[in-house]
Amino acid sequence: MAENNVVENVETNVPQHKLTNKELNSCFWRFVFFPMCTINYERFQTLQYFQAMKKVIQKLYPSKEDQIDAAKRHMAFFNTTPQWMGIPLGISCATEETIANLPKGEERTELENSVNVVKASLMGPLAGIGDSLDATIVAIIGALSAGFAINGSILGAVLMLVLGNAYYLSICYFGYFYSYRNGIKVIRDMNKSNILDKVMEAASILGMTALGALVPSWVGFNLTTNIQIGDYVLNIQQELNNIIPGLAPLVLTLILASLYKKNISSIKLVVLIFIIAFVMALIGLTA
Amino acid sequence: MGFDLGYVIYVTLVCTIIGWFGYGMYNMFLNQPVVAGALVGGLLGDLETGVIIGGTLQLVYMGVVGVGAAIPVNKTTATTVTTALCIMTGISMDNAIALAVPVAVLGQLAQMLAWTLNSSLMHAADNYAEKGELDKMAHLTFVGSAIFFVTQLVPIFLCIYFGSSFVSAINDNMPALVQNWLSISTGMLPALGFGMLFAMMYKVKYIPFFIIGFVLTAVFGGSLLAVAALGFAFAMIVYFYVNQGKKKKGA
Repeated sequence: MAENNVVENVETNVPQHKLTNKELNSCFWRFVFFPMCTINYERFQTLQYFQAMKKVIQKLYPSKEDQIDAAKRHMAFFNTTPQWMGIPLGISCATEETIANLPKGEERTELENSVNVVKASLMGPLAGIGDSLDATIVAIIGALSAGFAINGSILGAVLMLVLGNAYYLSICYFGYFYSYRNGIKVIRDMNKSNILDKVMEAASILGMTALGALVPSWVGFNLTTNIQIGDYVLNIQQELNNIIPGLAPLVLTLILASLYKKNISSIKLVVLIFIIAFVMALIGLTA
Repeated sequence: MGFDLGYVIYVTLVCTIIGWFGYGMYNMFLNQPVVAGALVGGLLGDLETGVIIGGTLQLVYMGVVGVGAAIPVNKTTATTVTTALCIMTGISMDNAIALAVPVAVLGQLAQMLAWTLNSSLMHAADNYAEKGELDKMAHLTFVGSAIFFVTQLVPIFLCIYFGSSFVSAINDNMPALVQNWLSISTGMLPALGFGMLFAMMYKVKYIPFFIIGFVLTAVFGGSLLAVAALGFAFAMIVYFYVNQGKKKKGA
């Protein structure tokens, strides 16, 4: 795969510095295993990005001076969804490889500056899509596994482990190696094909359909107690079921969703739920 | 009423190590409630309780995800500590779930502390970079990881140590009203997870899919797996047919 780079570089220079599978794999496993360890309020994932690149930098730049430059370069602000970090990392590896083989000069400086421009331009969109895609996928897997778990089956946990890791690792793996092979071209391809938007839309459709099914199944919220008014016994749940089954959980979910959209924090909403539940308990309703 | 200190430490370590996976290294999805609950249950000798609490909390915290720079409430700590306290004190599962609420916030505060402490590592890294000590820079990873371990350990120990006696004390004389209140709350809590997820994915054009999913389940009794399969089919239709149509028009 690295042969492409060799051919390209022949015109300018014979590539002296080439990444082998050893460094590429090191970078891959380092970012898979330690994506968040030093995450902090100042520069978020920055240091983890650098530690993934460490072996790559050491291999490509024999001189200490160049190593210092590269290390400083990768200490610039970076933050994105962990598994999507592979895409900028792959591009960074490819770019650093090219830089190492260029003679000092304008072209090299320009390319050096481009490293952080690429990282900065990718991290926002990738985090936007990554975070919401993550939420959707984990929610779907979570809902399926919770279905087993609530009935006491260990299969739920197994399902989460297998599907969750398969999803995570495949994005890490394909994102990283694809970007390394194609370098900067990846950004152009992504913009042109709109692939991320399309995937996001498909995932949202799946997520929304599944969510529709989840609401009536698992909001354990049945108004089972009868209210007696004179001779008339009002069975609230029965009445509601006559309108449409699952109406109460649906209304509750939609109210909470609209409050959450108005930036009311989830903690306040939990308190609200406890208050509503207290009122229900007081008037003698049971779950 | 008191619990053996050795046992408390064992429980604390189990909960801390599982919680540590959230940021301390690749989480391997061990930090998801459904897995974390099963692990704590298994290690404390009551697998079924762990599995059920984990499953319930998975639904409750469904919409809780870290978006951008915000740290969400800590669903892993909530699950591990709730499961542990439930097994230790024998409180009913419905009531135990209510414990998750304060514990999740405590776990979140612990992580905010870790994020703050980790900021100092950035300056150490800058200094090492200046001197060209790349290996030392990379080793800071383990310092950061250790910080996440310690910041989890302390609050979890306090929760287990004081929480276990506290919860068993209340459990022995809990009025029926309170028990009923907590069960109703537990039943309603998943609606919050669903609501948050709904708010996140909401676009008018997705509403038809939500309605289809809802009606198939609520009215026709479809299983989640069957409805999810249909959802997958809708997603494929949109991905392969709708977008292709647009392309042709553009060409």
